[in-house]
Formats: sequence, structure tokens, C-alpha cells
Amino acid sequence: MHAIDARCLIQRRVRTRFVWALLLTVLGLWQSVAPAAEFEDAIQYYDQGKFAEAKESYEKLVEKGAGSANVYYNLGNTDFRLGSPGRAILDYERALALNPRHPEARANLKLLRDKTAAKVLPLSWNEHLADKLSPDAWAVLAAVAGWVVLFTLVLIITSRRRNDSGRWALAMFAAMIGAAAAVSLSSIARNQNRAVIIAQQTEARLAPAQSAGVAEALPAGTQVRVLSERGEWVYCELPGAGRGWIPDGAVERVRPGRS
Amino acid sequence: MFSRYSPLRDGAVRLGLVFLLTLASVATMAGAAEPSVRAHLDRGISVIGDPVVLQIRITGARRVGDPPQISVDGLDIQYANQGSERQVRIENGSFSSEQTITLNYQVVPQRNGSFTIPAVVVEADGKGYSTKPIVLTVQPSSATTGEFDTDKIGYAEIVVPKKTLYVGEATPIEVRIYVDSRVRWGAVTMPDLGGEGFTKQKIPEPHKEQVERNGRDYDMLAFKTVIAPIRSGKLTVGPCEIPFRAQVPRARRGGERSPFDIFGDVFSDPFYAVTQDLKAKADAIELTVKPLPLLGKPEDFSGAVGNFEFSAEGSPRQVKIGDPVTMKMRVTGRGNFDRVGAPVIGDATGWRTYPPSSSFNADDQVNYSGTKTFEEAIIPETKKTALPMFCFSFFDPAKGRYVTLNSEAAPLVVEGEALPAPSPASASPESNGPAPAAQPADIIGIRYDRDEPGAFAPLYERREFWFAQGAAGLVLLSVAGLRIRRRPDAAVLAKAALRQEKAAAWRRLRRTDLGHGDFFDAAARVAQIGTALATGCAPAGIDAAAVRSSAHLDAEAAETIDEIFNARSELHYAGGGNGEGQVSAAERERVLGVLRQLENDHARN
Repeated sequence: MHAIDARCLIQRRVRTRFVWALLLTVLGLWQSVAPAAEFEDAIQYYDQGKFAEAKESYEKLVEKGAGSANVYYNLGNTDFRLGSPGRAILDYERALALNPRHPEARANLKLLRDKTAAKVLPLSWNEHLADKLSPDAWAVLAAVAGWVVLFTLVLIITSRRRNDSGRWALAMFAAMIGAAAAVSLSSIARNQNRAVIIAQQTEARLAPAQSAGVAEALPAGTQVRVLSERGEWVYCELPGAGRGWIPDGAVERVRPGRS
Repeated sequence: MFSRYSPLRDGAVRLGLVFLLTLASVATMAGAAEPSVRAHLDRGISVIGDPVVLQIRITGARRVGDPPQISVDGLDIQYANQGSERQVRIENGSFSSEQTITLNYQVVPQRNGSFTIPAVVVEADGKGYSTKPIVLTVQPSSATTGEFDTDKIGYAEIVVPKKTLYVGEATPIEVRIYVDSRVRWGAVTMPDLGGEGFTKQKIPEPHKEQVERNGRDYDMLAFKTVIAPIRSGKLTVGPCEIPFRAQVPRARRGGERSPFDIFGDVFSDPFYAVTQDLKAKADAIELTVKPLPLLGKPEDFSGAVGNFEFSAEGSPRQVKIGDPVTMKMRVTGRGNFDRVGAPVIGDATGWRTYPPSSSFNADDQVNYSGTKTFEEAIIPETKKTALPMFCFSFFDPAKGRYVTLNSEAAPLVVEGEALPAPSPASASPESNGPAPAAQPADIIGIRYDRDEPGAFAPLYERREFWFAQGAAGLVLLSVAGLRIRRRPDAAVLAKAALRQEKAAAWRRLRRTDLGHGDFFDAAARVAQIGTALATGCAPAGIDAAAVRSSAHLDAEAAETIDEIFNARSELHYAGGGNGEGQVSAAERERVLGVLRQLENDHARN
């Protein structure tokens, strides 16, 4: 009797574990399939001209953390079709932030900037350099170069060899690469506060008040760099090399969720 | 070029000269008449210190007496020089000649006022002749002076057509510099228009012209630009300094300038001018800026202030549904064109619109007047009979109110049915590429492939990156520790042990109480170890021959080495009969000397 009960108990435990395993598998599969389905839905909506629905689908994907370069790029196209060139430019900038070599995003961004007469922040030489590689590539390069320098120096210091010119040359080369990477990373860090004017047309003002004088007129899609925030106003570096206050709702950072 | 000497021609010339002289003397005699005397001032108005020339001209006299002294209270009149000229005339077939003698005086005014130079009596051909009195006016003005105050060479001013503006209203402004036209000068840099609260256009190259101001001629250089106030209230434009470089006349040595200076005007004489960097300062002007009225502000008002005209045309006029019509809209006039936004469509129902492109053709150099052209693609999605109406709004500062201009709703023929939904086939991978060439102004289509989600935070902001750096740091520390604490190898240890043993053997050798056997034993050991360290061979296998071959020793030293090794062998293998005795001092020194020689030789090699 006791043996039968024990067997039943074991069978029940095995069954319960099997059900849990099955549930977890299904959940995992669903999690990976759901964004794909959402993406397909968004494409369908876009192709049918249902741009509002397409936008909603793309935004859901972004909320779920499935925002990729293509998702932002498609969202940009959708925003453009919905008559929001500023937002479209922001989306293209985001797509390029995730994949700096996204050719379509680059092309559309240029086209829209031309159409809206959007202004861009002037690029310094180190920002030009930083543009050559992705931020992650620069970070890896800086780290590798730094460690090569340190390891080589340790080897030189602890070596009994009198002639270490080869190691010195390697250390110098790595130091130069590391310096270039560090300069690029500093400008990348500065550009983390880049933002885009999403309002159709706004004006940067000399003080955080509507009655303050106009510092610069900013068409939709204009690049600015956020310096600080105060209430409903954002203090920004402007493309015209000046600074001004922009209403909070008129500007959005390229890097979402950063403040 | 030199002409060849000709006696015949020389004679002819001489004959001609004699003839002319004869004619002249005859004419003089024939023309002898009553002389006339006349006084003349080169100008009737002067200022204090500015010399004037007084001339007394005696015509028809052959001889003139001494120049008379002239004195007038308030005028310093000094005789300067005398000149003469002869004029030959032919009248009614006969020659006549007339000589004019001129007495020149320099008159320097010493105070303001009207002075009469009285009649002056001049002796001509033995008779006295009188001039008529003449008047010289000396006035308190710098208008005719030749002396220069550098502060008064030039001045500048800011000129605006109106002093009351609206916010955003572009108005032309001129910064003018006036410099005395007799001075050679040139502007050095563009002026910087000071002040806050307005935007300004880049100043193009200035234009130059000659003008008259307060009775003086000036070169005027006008720098034109356009300003637009960005806030209401009082607005101060300027002051503005214009640097310029001028050749300023300088005072001549000896004080006053002589009126008889044959070199003429000092202004054209670079030797009497010095180049100076000067500045002309234009005083600030104050403008009143009124805010744009809130009442009646159109929704599509983009900030354009000025006087504009608006026209729009679309082409083609016959399209199918879904085909684009290009609207070309022109805003022409004067005003702040940077704030002229694209005209907006009145009713967009049934139309798909795209953001317009724009271009601006300025009629002047400061972008104040011109034509801004917008091109916008619109696509009919339903049947239409006319183009849509576009509106453009601006504020007219002359009228003080907003103006909205509408385009004409020109007829349009739209064929076909309502726009079909996009075909599912467009989802094929072929459509991933660039947009068709028929619509180059449109964006590239969407991407149908799904890529991996990315993170906006760069790698260096992620924890994993810094974990990896920490791990690399630990590896580095480990490597450094291992390399620093690494034990030396066996060969190094063996060498160190040999050096220690050799040092001990040397210490033994230096003891004076050492027996014969011990002394040679220690000496042989020193030689063996030294050779072993020098050659890298094991010390046990080194004999006298090996020691000798390891160094360049003379014959005596080589013999001593043999003695050392023989003595030790004798001690070790033959019972050491001589082992207990003391080594003599001389032998001791000889052996130690050879060992030192050996060591030095090893060190050298």
C-alpha cells in the first residue's frame, strides 16, 4: 500500500515538473516570437497606408526593448508619412546611433534635413574622427590599446634584456591608438546629450520664458546639445554656436531615457 | 640720338635769332606806353595763420623801383620776391611787346576781421603809380585751412531709415565713414556693429562715393547691412568704430607753409604726409521696438515681417490619382526672409502633402529683398477639379497688421479612381532598395528585415565592460608579480656560489699564518674558479693548462701557475711533505701577483 502511494507521489511530481518545463518553454518561445509578429504587423500597417497603427506597433516594439536600427528607421519613415519630419529625423538619428552604417537611415536623414532646412551642430575634428567607428568599437580599441601599453611596460620593467626597443615601439604605437580612441570617446560622451527639435518650428530663447528674446529660430529636425534642464525648459547648445532655452516638449534626446 | 654738326645750319640759326631780337627791340620801342599798376590777392578769404599771396603787377614798365613796404594792422605782410614776363603780340601786321613785373608779398592774417590793404605807390620808369585798395576777410573757420587736426579728418555715423520697428522687422542700416577728400585713406577692417537684441546680416563690401558735407568734400564709405530686432523695448545700435589708415599732412620744418611753394598742395605730396592708423567713431542710435500684436495673428504665421507678394503655380495640370503635382510657390518682397516659412495648404482633404524644399534668390547683398521659392509635391488621392489653395501670412509693419495672401485655385484635371491600398507585393525583399527614380524627392522605403535590438548606452557605460577591465587588471598584476618574484635560474645561482667561494679563497690567501699546502690549495682554487667564471667550464675540470690557455700570461706567470697546481697536486696526492711549512713572503707575493694578473686578464676579456 505504502509502495503504491510512494509511486503515485513520484509520478505526480514528475508530471508537475514536466508541465512547468513545458510552460517555461512556451513562454520563452512566445517572448521571442512576439516582437517578430509585432514587427510584421507594423510592416503590414505601413504597406496598407495605416501609418498611425504602424507607428503604434513600432513604438510597442521599442517599449519592449526590441528597438533595433531597422525598427527606428521604419518608425522614422512612418513619422514622415504622418507629417512629423522632426520626429522622423529623430528616429533616423536613433537608428544611426544603433547602427552608424545604416545606409537608408543616412539617406533619408539627409533628404529630410534638406527638406526642412534643419540645422546641424558643427562637427569638430575629434567628432569627425569619432564618426569613423561605432562607439563600442572605439571603447574596445581604447581598452585593448591601454592594456597593451600597460602589459608592455610591465614586461619592459621586469625584463633583464638590455635592448627592448621592439617593446618600446609597440608601447608607443599602442599609446597613440589609445590616445585617438580616448579623444573619440570623449566626443562620443559629449554627444550622448544630443537632441533633435521635434516641433514643426520652435525658437530658442535667451531666458526660460516665452516673453524672452529669440536666440535662434529652429526648424524641425534641428540638432541641439542639451546642457541642463530647468522646469519645462531645456538649456541647449544651438547649431548657430549660441545657446538658448527651448520648451521641453519641442525637443527630444536622441538617446532615449537619458536625462 | 645726336645730330651731326652742320656749319651751314648753324649759321642759319644764328641769323634767325638776330632777326627775332631785332624784331623784339623794335616792338618794345613801338609798344612803349603808360605803365599800369594793379594789386591782386590770390583769394579774398582766409583764416588766421593761413598765408595769402599779394601781387602787385606793373605792366608796360621797363624798370621798377624798390618794393614798397606795406603794413596793415592785423596782417603780417612781407615782401617775398619779384618776377617778370614779356608778351610779344602781332597787331595789324606790326609787332608789339609788353613786359609785366610782379612784386610778390606774403600776407599772413593774425586775427579775424575784414582788412583793407591800402593803395600802394610803386615807382615805375621813374614815376610813381598807385594801386587800388583791396580787402581781405579773415574768418573764424577751419573750412579753408590747410592744417589738419587728425580728429577732424573724418567722422562716422549710423543711418537707419526708421527708428520705430516691430520685433523681427528687418531694416537696412548703414554705417558711413566720411574722410576729407584731400586725404589718401582706406578702411582697414569691416566695422563691428555693437549692441544687443538684434540679429544682423554679414556686411558685404562697402561702396564709396564723394559727397559734400558742411561745405567740405568728403570721401564717403557706406557699410550696409540689415538688422532685425528680436525683442521689444528700447534697442541701442552701436556705437561703432571704423579703423582706417590715412596719410595725414604734417607740419613743415620752419613753421608756416609758404604760398610760393612750387611743389603745390601738401596733400598730394607723400613726403609731407605721415601714415596714421585712425578710428572714426559713430555714435550709438536708439530704436524703439514694438511687439507684434497678438490680435489677428494667423495660425500659419511663421514670423515673416515685411512687405511681400505671394504667387503659386502647379504643374502638370492633368494628372492621374496618385501622381504628384509640383507646387512652385514664390514669396517676393522685402523683409526678414529667414523667417519666411513655407505657405500652408488651405484644405488638405484628399491631398497627400510632403515637406517642401526652399531656395532664396536675394536681390541685394544683405538678403533684404528677393524671392524665396518653395517647391512642394502634392498628390491627389481623390478626384479634384482645382489645385488646392495655399496661404502665406506675414506682418506688414507699414500697415501695422497681419496680412494673409492666398494663391489662386487654378483648374486641375485628375483622372482615375481613388488611390488603391499598397500592394502586399511591396513587402518583397526587392523593395528594400532605394526609392524608384521617378520620385527622387521621396524617402527610401522601409526595411522588411528584422535586426537585433541594440542598446543606446555605449559599451563603456555597461557593467560587463568594466568587469572585463577588472579581469585584465588582475591578469596584469599577476604577471607583474610573477615576473618580479621569479627565482633566478640555476646557472646564475652556480655563478654566485663560485664568486662567493672565490672570495673566501682570496680571504684565505691573504692570511699570513697559512701553511704551505693550504696556501697553494687556496691559490689553485682561486685560479680554477676565476677560469671557470671566465670560460663557463666546471671548476673541477680545470687544470694548469686550462688556466694558462684562458688568459694571456707571460712565461714567468705561466710557470708560477704550473707551480701552484703542482704544489697542490703534491699536497693532495703525494702526502704533502711540504705542507706544514710557512710560505716565504717573496713567494707569497709572487703567487698573489700572478693570481691578480690572471684575474685582471679575465676581467679584460
